[in-house]
Amino acid sequence: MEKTDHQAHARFRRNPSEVMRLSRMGSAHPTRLSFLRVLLRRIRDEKWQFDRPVWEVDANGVGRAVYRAITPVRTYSLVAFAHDLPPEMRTDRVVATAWDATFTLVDGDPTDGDLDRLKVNVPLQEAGRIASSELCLSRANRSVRLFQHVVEHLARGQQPDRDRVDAVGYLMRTTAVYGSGKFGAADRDQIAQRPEHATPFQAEMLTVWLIRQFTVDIVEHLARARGGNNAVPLSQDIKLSLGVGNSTGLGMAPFIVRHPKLLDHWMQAREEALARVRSQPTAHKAAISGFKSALAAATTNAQQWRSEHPLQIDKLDKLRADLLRLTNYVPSFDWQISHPWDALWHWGQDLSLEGQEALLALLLEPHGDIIDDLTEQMSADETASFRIDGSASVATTLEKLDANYRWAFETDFSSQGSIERFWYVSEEKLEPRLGERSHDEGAELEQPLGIAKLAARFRETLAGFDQSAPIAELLLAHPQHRYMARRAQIADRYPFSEIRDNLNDEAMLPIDLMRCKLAFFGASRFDPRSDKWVRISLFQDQPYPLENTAFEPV
Amino acid sequence: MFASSQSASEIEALCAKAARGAGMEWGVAEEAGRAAQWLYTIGLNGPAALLRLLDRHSKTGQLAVAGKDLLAADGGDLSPIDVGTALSDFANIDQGSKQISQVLAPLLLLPFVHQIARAENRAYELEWRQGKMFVHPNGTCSGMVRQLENTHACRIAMNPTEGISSPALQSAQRPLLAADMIARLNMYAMRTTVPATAASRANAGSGATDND
Repeated sequence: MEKTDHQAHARFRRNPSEVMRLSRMGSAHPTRLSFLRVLLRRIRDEKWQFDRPVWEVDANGVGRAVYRAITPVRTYSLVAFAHDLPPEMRTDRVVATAWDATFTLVDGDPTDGDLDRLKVNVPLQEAGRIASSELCLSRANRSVRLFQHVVEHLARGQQPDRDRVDAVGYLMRTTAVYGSGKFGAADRDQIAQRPEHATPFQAEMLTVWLIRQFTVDIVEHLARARGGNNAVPLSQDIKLSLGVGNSTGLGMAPFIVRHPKLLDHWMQAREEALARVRSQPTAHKAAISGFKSALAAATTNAQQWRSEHPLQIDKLDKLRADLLRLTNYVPSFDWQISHPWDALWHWGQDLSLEGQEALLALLLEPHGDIIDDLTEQMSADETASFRIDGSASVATTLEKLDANYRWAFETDFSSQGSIERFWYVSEEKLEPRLGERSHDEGAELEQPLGIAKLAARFRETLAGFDQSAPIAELLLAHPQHRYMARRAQIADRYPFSEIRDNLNDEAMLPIDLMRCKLAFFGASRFDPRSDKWVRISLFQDQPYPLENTAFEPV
Repeated sequence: MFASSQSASEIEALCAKAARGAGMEWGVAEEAGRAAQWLYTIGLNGPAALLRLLDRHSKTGQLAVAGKDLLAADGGDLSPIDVGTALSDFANIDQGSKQISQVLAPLLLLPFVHQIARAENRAYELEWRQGKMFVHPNGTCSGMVRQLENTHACRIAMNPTEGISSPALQSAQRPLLAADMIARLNMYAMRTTVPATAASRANAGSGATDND
């Protein structure tokens, strides 16, 4: 298959005005370009080796472990501390002070001195400090629904109840995975030049994947401690079906707003991939068969995907119906026509947003050889685009603002509903929160996430200023627009950088922001617990690091 | 007593929030955070300079730009962040020498001068009553840099310089940051946060048990 060049794809590309809408972003599905898929392909291709040189855990499940990822060039080590957490202290909230297990990913092999230092700090999480020899900090809690059930069954020589396993999907869930300089960890600069970190969040994905191994190891360990010789390990089938849960709240929501250039690169990679597939003049047999397998897997995944949240239940109903329609359509589809993938794509535009975005993932799935290279473009040097070009004229700036932010100017800011929500950071635990202007305190401390309103205010000043003046003069007189002026220049160069919806609107769903980011991570089975909190699973159905069989990621 | 070592991104985040907490607009505070971080990573105490600025921020003057002159319209001391952003913004319009009136914490000008030096691929000389130094396109500084770091306020001239060679890039020892300085920056940063109420705490989570 040929990779045709970028310019040829214009008619196969979607517009930012279509793509950058919260409702569509909130229906995003993981694709083969997702960060965890990228990691696993690299592990396979470079033949990384894995071992567990330390396992010192007592019969109560307290102790420590070290897991190593040995690449051809260097080693990464996950240091895990297992704790005996009293049940009443278990919470996913940032306000938690203790967890079932705490972790750090070390850049190399930890020395005894490192392990001593980490033992003091890692269990404290945000209240401790790690060093630039560490890349990530994380913690996980046991699933109250599943963990003990599995321990008890394995201890008795039985496998856990399959329905219960499927309903939960994980033994433990992480409640934060911090990287990029947080709490003293290495800055991204330290690792950004390494090929294995060219794609974003690889350190975080490796951390979570190694944690997944830990979750199985600890549950089997506790089963043995309890049941002795009667205990059995998890069946391979069940083990593969388990992922690592993750619990995400508003803390993650602002990320894609605060990193517009990065968001643009993620979106552009995915949209370019879609365009390359749609531009294929013919469909190869292997790709067709790959597509059909992916469709079957997606259908199974949609059956197993559970949620109790009314919004998600509705979306799942639509997704299942759409996948069924697609499944029924495919047998009669003529693959011999010109540009068959594009034709299939067009047929799919009648599906719900969930269906359309699922179809996108399906189209990408069998085309790795023409799209996987795009993952190398998904990181962004945000420093390079930070500087404002003060020589741009007010007139040109206004013209570009009108072109790129029309969606913002269509908002009626006089309506209370359109400015009702405001983002702020709580003094307690520094958590991002959403307030309601009509009855919450703190609106004067609003974070700059309501881009629509900021754009409208900027526009007003631009329109009333000397049109021939350089923007430098406007910013000198009106420094309050500097933030928006920078964003506007970024948006003009990076068309997929701005979410084209009003984040102050009362109907805005923060989970749409989270799902977009999590889909790029590779998360499946989004389970919103409210409009501000979502549960996901990572690495379900993927292999484990400590396996004796040949490594073949899905 | 020193704070434990901070990552560059932590310094940037802390300084940007502190600048906002002290009253800078968000877009200006971002620049302050970046400036402090840039200095920190080349071995200069940007955070300390920023703290000195923030303690006087409410008293800084309104910047006016008149050709090559940057001065305070109302006669006060200038904020180096206001000056730095203006230097950067006007650099493409009006290249070359600049005269800057009394500016606080002049160390914070360096990252902005560097942006201009890099864009124009030539070094800039900074001269003030008690010293002189150079900012090179490759991000190095030479001359009386420590003197400037210790200068609380001065008038300063900026002159492009052709044909001088840049020192080699070396990895710099990050400055040790006093724990109480970090604590004071944190106090400014906390002004950007909203005190919790029972209602806001409850509303932030899942609503149901988040424990399963």
